[in-house]
Amino acid sequence: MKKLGIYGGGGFGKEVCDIALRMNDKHQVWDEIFFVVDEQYLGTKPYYGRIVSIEDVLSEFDKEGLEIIIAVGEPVVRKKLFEKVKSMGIKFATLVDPSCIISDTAELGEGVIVAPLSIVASSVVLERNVAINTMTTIGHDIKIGAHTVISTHVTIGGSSTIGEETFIGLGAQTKQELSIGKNVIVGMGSVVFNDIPEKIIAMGNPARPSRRNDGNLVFKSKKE
Amino acid sequence: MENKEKYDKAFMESFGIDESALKDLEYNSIPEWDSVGHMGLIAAIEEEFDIMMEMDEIIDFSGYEKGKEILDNHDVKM
Repeated sequence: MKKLGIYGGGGFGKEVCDIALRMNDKHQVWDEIFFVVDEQYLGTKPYYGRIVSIEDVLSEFDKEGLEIIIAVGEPVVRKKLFEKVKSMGIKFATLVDPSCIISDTAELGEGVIVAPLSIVASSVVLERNVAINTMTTIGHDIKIGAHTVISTHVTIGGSSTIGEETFIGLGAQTKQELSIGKNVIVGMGSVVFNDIPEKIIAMGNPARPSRRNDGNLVFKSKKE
Repeated sequence: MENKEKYDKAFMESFGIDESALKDLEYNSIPEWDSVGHMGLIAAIEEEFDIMMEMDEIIDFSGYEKGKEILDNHDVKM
């Protein structure tokens, strides 16, 4: 039996843990689910199970029976953590909540997360480490690039392409047959009618480019 | 109202700031002028002068003074 390490102990980590527990309820996949964090977060109380530093993971667990899932919502950080785990030679899990409807013709890469009540339609390609949040609909023939995060209640129209490390905000809607570049941020509630080039922050209805996405960070620290 | 007054009003109303804060004001120099505030400012300026800015102009609109140069291309003289 395998073990699942959830890398990230924040809010999304809790949701990902609940998905894993629901998957296990339906059909047991892992005999242990635990949290993995960077050293400085070791003192925090885990939401479930035990908490292990990423540095100690390989001494605590057998690499062969171990799977990791990246549970952070910031695309740039998703990529960084994914590459770190990959370089350690650890395998990735793919987590799909049992309540989702996933087409048999959809391709889900390693490390993909699909949160509850989401729909992934025919011939969709979700590249490695993509995160689809709750109640989101991904239409047919859509390709979503690695490490990209699609938030809750988003609808992506069919035959579209979304680049790597992009963030689509809460409740955004995008028209069919669009191309949204890599490192893009689409603000929450946006209605996207036109293509968005790479490295752009766009928002509004109709969505318009606002700034260049230089910092690449979606979530700014509240301390700033 | 003169163009300069309209331009200043768009900034002051969008960001809730005084006239004294306008000179040398740049994107991200105050919390109110972030990417969301920017779209509010652009909408206010477009409405005030009945113009429509292009994507490159919106992105290049990096400060109070730079904005004047961009509006000059739309025949808004200050």
